[in-house]
Amino acid sequence: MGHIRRITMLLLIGGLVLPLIPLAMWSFARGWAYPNLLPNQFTLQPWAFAVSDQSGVLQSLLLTIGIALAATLLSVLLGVPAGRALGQHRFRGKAAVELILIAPIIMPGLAAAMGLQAVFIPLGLSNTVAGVVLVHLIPTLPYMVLVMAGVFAAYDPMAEDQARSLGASPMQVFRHVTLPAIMPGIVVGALFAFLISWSQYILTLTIGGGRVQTLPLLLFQFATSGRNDITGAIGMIYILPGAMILLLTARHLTGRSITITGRGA
Amino acid sequence: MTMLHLSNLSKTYPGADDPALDGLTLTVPPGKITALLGPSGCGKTTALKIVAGLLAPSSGDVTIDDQSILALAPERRGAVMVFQNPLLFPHMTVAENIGFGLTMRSQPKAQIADHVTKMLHLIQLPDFGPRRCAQLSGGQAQRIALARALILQPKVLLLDEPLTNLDAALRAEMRSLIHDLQRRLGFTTIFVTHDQQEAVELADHIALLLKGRLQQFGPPEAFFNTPSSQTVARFFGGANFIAGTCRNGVFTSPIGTLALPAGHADGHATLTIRPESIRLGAAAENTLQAVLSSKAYLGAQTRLTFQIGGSVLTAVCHPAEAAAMTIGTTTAITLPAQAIWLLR
Repeated sequence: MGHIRRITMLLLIGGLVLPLIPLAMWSFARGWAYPNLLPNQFTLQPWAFAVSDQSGVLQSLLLTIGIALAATLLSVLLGVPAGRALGQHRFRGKAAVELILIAPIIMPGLAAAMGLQAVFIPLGLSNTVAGVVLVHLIPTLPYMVLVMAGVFAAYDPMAEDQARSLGASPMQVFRHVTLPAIMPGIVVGALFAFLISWSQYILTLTIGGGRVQTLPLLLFQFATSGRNDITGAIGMIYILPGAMILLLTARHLTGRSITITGRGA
Repeated sequence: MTMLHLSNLSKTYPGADDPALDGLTLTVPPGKITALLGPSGCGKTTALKIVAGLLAPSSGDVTIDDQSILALAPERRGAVMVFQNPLLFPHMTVAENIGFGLTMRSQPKAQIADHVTKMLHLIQLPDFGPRRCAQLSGGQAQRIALARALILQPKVLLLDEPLTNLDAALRAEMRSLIHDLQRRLGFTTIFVTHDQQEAVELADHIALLLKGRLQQFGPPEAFFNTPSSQTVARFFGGANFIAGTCRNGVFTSPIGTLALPAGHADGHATLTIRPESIRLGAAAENTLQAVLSSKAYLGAQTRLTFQIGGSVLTAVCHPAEAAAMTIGTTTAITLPAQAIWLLR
């Protein structure tokens, strides 16, 4: 096991951290011509620009966080009951519901977004933050529902009957029995939802119409305009929340989740 | 004392043709242990869940002290159910599990801790309070589940197959624990079981349910000595059923003429006698000549099958006594009059 763990660790570092090094170096570079291994000169200028009002990074950052949090919250509110239904009940058309839920993962987001745009325009949701939040649910919700369906498949709802019988009101049952049991799943699902919303480009561009400028959109603007140094700086900022969330919640991602079983094991 | 009454209780599950529970009327003796006995699917757990408030009946009523409790939410009924599976809450310690109900009632923490300590002593697990539920054996988990219900001092305690998941040694221990606690605390208890032996050992009264219908209600002895039907008698291990006619205290049948205890009305009837009541050897009355057709060794007893004409009688005796008997020989057996019961 020790060897496998070490190799996995090396692969993770090689795959995730190494590609970031040139990006980080670009953010401090003044001129970096081919085929030089290092930039000609180091500077803090790209960073100074990135954090200035002029760049609009701070605004985009807050907007992206806001949209991702809203999309995550909606995913949790919709995904927990839906996951419960799928995880605990058999009903007619269950397979069809599951397919529809997974469909956004299979289908290109652009195709869905174009169709949705036609619906959103008369509703006044096009080019709005609310519209972007809603369209982000297309890719976030499937993950949330699938994670919660897995959690609820291993959850014994009799525990809720038991709690009711022991004098807990429905609200108390949810707070003291259901929620603690499904919390690891909610954390994992919410994490997925947040990061997926965080990295949306096409959907935001289509529905937001360029008016809702999230960080990936801003990043892409600079990348296409050939400003590798500023792209590097914004890119580093863009990575930050994801990396922070991942570090803070790593212990929830180990796959150990609490389930209620016969022996309380 | 809490008076629990079930009146004409029926439940048909959606999509089912036959009712799971069919017109159950039962006055549960207060301060006693009552068993709802029956094979799986006879409606006994359905009845328990209706009393607990976890299931709504299709018709009928449940009253506690003459007040209908059907409109009350489960948490307000004063009837606490303990499931077959202990269902301890895994994110809580043993003490938190036992104190759960009191915590829900927002009682002061110190008071809860006090009660929990008392309960832990009562179930003989005094040091288990801070433990995690994952570290418990099945028997310990079951006892903690019981304590978690009893701490609420329920008017009615509902136990769903409390012993089924335990092995033989733990069953005996748990059975005497329930018995002791019930005697000491005096709560009205209903428990559900499919095990006739368990019902007899633990219950003061038994309600036998078959196919959703109440067959007989009474003390355990009644099911052995005065069963209400052949079905009831068979469920309790009754084996001998001889059709005949009763006239003036004498039963005439293909196996012979037998004297009956007083009080039986004339007419057609089926005679039944427990296998263990049949005596080997002759007596002053009711002695028959029977051919021993088979012997089956059961450990503590040997089961003997006799033939009289075309009729079969089953008896049991001590294995040593049976060893001396040879299959195919004719023996005298006696059916004591006071052990005979007539089914109509």
